[in-house]
Amino acid sequence: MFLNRSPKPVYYNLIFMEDCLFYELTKDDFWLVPNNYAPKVLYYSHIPGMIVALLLIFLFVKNYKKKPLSIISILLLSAFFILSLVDLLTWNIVNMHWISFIWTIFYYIGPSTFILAYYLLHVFIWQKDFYFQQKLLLLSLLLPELIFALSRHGVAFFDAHACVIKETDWFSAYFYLVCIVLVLAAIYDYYCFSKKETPISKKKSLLVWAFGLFGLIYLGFDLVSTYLVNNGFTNNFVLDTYAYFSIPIFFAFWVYLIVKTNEFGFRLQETKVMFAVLFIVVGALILFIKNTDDRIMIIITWLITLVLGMIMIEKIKQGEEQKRSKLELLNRELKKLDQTKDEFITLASHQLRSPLTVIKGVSSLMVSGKINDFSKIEQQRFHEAAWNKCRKLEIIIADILNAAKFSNKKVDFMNTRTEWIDLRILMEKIVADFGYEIEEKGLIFEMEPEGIMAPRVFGQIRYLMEALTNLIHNAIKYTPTWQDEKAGVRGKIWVDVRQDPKQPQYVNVVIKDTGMGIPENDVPHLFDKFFRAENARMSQTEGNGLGLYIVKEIIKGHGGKIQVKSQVGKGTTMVVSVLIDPMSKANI
Amino acid sequence: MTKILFIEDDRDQIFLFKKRFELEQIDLIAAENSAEADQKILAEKPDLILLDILLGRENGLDILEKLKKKPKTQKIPIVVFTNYEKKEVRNRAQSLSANDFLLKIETTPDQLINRVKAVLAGKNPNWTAK
Repeated sequence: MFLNRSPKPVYYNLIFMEDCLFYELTKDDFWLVPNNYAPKVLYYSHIPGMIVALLLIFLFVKNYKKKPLSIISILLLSAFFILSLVDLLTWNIVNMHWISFIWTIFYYIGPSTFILAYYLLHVFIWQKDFYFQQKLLLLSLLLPELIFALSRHGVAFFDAHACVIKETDWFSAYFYLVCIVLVLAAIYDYYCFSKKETPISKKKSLLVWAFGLFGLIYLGFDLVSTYLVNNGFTNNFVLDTYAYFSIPIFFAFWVYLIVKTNEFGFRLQETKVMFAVLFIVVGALILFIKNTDDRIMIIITWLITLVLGMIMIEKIKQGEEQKRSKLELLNRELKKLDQTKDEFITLASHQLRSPLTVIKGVSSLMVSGKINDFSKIEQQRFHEAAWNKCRKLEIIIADILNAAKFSNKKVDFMNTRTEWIDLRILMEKIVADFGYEIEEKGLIFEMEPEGIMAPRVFGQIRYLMEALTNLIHNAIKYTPTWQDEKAGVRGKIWVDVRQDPKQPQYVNVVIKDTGMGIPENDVPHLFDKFFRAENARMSQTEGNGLGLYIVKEIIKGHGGKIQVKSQVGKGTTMVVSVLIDPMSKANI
Repeated sequence: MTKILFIEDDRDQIFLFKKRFELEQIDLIAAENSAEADQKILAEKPDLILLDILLGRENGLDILEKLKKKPKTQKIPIVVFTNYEKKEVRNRAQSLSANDFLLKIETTPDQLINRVKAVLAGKNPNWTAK
């Protein structure tokens, strides 16, 4: 584009010549192209691109955000618009003074487009703006252009035959140098970023490819057409105009990414209006054009616009719908969470108040002196009740704090105080602690013989101990002394610790009892906060419904799981599977 | 002798209030669930019912509704006596024509006796408290 359009330059003195002489000034098919020299492909390469650029500028300005990408997009689009316009004008103006003037604009806008495209790419990849110094450096690339434009160094001569300015080789070389430097900078950027972020996001890769394509088309057509003209293969610069397809292609990628990421909040209505206008404008071109070939081209453009528009509108629609349903889902979840939190507070305060009621009641009798109206045995019973409730309060407070800690996900079981734990030894210790209670209740306790030693598991012993203690305690609490009193069969609890034969990454702790069992409906809710099975509530008023929730959270935190098999009246089997090494979970 | 049925599942609480009511010559009978309550209402014909809300799997409000619907029991004054503090529960108890709503934690045995006596004497319950 910066090169002459004739293989045989003819020299003219600018002072004596106003208009280029060699054009036949006949009105052609279209007002913008009044000469026969201008290629018809101009309609196709320039005008739709300019309209799209204008519309996009409008959209960017309307959805203006104080972000570098927003500003760069507007600048790049404007640069492209001016470049296309200037090129159109040089094809059509025959006055030498005007062409000379317009040519200086070319000097800036051509490289500026390239610089801005690179700038956009850089900011998009790194998601941050250049520093001031870097911007200055980038801008300084234009400085030689300024010198070329304001002095004679850029111009070799005016080719009045083709009605173009012939640039010096220095100028051309510098322009290609800038382009090559920027393409290399883009590749370097991509390389550096791919080291920082692996894998590099698809969107970023896509824009890098778009930039590459842009450079390839832009420079490719320019170089090829120059080569062909300079070597006398053709005297027509038509090929050069194809370079202008590169920028809309780059922008098509960019707009696609914008819509995809919804970074600039492009809305459905605006896109619809934009495409409707574009559709009408491109469609209207058909009416102006008499040449059949061009008409076919415009109709193809028209159809492409239609299809692209429909795809884009559909995409935005989908995106908005997805966003809406996502928001609705989040809203529902939030409401549920809020409700759960409220429920937690109500129930927690109930749990705390119930024991306090007794403590307060007994103390009020003591303060008023009414306690003396009761017998010694009754007084003793009052004191016991208050003492029991103090103990209960202590447990509830610890449980609530634990439950709150676990539900806030503040506990990282694998972070501190971890060690290798032999679950069999741990279970033996826990059971020994309950020896008195088991004996007092008259239950039979059995631990399966060791056999093959189970591997040790990795975790926090205090939490695993708490979880397993809780389960043993439940087994004792909900197993009656007699399984069959008439037959003299006592209630029984079995414990077994063994590596899972099917999933060797787990060690299983099996706790089986002949207790009251859990109703089928209650099993799925067993580990919910504050949940207590129906029959558990009926038979045992103690218990705050937090124990099993805490057990679940601890086992989950150790990469484990719990299975429950139960039959009302027959008994319950709890299988706690603990991952041997939760840290290597990914390898399993 | 005045008889009160205490529908409650905490035995320490039952003991505490039963003993305190004895000093006032009031007989406090306990029922831990609705089935037991039905049975005791029939057998003992209580003058008043003290009703907890969170009763194992049962909801005290359902018991209240049932009792207030049955012609035989609807005239027995019912005082909701619970630690479950929730506006909706309170409103529902009122709409189901409970005679009073007392928070256990805010009520000492002496205060409970005063309120129970007031309800038995036909005085208006203090619904505006909260």
